[in-house]
Amino acid sequence: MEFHLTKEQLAWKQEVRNFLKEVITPELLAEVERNKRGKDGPLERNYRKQISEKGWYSMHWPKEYGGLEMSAMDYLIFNEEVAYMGAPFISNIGPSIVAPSLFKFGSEENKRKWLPPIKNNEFDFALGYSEPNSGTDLASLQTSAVLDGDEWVINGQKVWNSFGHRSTHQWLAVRTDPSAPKHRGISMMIVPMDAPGVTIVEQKTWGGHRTNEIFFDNVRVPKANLIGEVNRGWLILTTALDHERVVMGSSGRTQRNFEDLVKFCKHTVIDGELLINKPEIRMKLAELKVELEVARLFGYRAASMIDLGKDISSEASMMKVFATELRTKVSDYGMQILDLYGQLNKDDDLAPLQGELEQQYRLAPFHRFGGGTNEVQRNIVAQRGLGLPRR
Amino acid sequence: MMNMEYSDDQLMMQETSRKFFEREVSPQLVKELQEPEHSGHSSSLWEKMANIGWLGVHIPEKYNGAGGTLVDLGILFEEAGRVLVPTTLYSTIYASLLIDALGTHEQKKTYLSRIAAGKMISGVAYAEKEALHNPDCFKTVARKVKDKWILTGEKMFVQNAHLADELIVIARSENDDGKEGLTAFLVPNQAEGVSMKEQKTFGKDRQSVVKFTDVELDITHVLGNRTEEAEEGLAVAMNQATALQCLEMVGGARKVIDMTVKYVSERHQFGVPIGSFQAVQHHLANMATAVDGSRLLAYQAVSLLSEGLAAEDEVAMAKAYAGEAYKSVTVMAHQLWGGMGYVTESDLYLWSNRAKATELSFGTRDLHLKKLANNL
Repeated sequence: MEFHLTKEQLAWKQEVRNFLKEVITPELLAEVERNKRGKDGPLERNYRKQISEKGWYSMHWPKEYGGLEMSAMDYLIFNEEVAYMGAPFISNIGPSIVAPSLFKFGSEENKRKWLPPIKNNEFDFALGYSEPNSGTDLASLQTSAVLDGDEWVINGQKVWNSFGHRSTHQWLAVRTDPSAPKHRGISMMIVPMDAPGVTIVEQKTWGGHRTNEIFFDNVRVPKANLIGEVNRGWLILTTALDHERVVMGSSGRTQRNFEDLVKFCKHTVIDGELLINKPEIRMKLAELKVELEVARLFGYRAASMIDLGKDISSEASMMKVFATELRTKVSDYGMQILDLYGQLNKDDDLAPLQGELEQQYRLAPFHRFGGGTNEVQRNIVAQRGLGLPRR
Repeated sequence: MMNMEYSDDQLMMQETSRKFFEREVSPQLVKELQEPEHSGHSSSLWEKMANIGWLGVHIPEKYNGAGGTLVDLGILFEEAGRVLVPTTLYSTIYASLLIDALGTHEQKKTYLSRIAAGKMISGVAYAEKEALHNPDCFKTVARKVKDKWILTGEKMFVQNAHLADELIVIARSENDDGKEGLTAFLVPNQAEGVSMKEQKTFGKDRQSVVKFTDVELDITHVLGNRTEEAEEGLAVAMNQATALQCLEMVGGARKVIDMTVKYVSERHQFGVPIGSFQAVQHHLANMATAVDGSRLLAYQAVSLLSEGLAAEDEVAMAKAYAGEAYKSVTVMAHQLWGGMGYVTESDLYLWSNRAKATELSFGTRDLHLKKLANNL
């Protein structure tokens, strides 16, 4: 047992932080904010290009696919730093969901065709999973793909398609055998967003981030866009979900919110008293500190288990539930500490912490239900972790 | 490198100690020892533990110990916590940590060797009627008269005082130069002027009020032979004992989860195991999460302490979290077991009692949160 990052890991953490400090400029953040609902602008594209040039999109890939073969711990450190520093979002869908699926299930042709542009950040993906009537019961999805000569013909509708409006491709789950049991008739394919018949419609969210509905009307893609075996998509999809959970469970942003909140309390006098001197605030902050430490350790545990080659499904679920619920607690209590100031949003000059807490408060539900709802995660902890019977 | 898994040696320690404890410490034995006519201690178990070397896991080899680390000892505590090993183990180990932190070579040779060999039961006399955590409020004092120390006062909640060969008593002292400080005294139970009365406790563990009436002690009974210098060593040993107790608690909580998983998997209602209901599964998932979190915090604290780091925050975080976790797990277990867990025949209450007792010892959640707040 050991509870320290290695010298190399600490150096890596510093390297990422230094890099981010350099590339995150007020202009970049302003552009990202401006374009939140549209396509990415030149500064954001340049920011991602710099990351891709460092090889960091594929830092955790095996060397044979051009990756840096860095550990899961290094990858977690990277994600935590990105979140901690408030860096513009770096989509993990291509490099961490599509690519690992290709490593494991893709044909040689699949790999040759799709991996290089993912690595170079030329292709961006959106997850084409949920449908209006298939959310948590994802395996009931109805969007269909029928083989017609050398092409698949796709019809149906997807929802909660975040990044759909700025992606080049869909990582799409489709039904290829309607007569098979629901888990046995699903396949995964890659669909270019510019294919004729693809329509995208914005869905606005409480959290302020854009998601989309996306319609497929006789969309034709080459037969070779199918990944892995036909009708075996469920396995690919669930393998990828475990990974998504580790990313969703990163507590870097919440840690930053907490530290900023403590700083604020140390410098702010309200009603004649420094906030940090109020006993009720001190106790609550201490309580949150303990839970943040638990979240951090859950993250490191999941990453170190991956590095040791262990199965992490229930630990990833535990981590995800804990970190996402903590996000609500920190932002919720943070807003209460700010009292009347807590209601000022980021557009107000006087908003403490640049309105970050109210934003996190609105973003938190997305983390709790996204990537597999926390209810399903608890089922996984109970059934896979503790071995309780399924119904 | 960050690694929360046991090494091969640690895994072996865990496996052997689990096997041993499961064989030797049944709920039946635990119940029996808690009956008023018993002492709360099992000499035969004690002897077996000494023979395997577990009473001296952490004691250096030169004092007849196994020379292991605090993490090794932590593993033993976790496994002991699962089966509710009598508390003489914990109070004696706490005393040994204090002797190790403060004692002279001679004292260590004498007392640590005896503890490792299973020849000494001990406990630490710290709290007083009006001073549970703040030694500035201690009224137990030691005065130097010629070459003797005269100890006077009253300590409370002294673990296993009724069985102890020597107790370690923390008192305020005033040396020849009029310097005041805390001193740790090794006080033989048989010394003249020592009297005690057992307290009746929720956890059915044995604690006593111990009274010292002009107890005369020579210099060999001053831990470290020095006065007014016990603060630092005391803080070290107390932190170690607190972190170790967190692992005892984790062990107990994990055992309760294991028993509860078994119960809800076997108990059928409406034609299915009640463990297949999501309401039940989610409670158990929350319990498992709280205990996993406690376990990581506790091993982090013990691991940093074993490297010689102060780990003040880490210990405080571990105790604040584990106290709530162990207790909540037992409260929820009672909910999930219903009437079946309410009858004493189920033994569940044994863990529920211990959970509350450990929550209240070495500082409750509030005390540790306060420490953390001061370090924010």
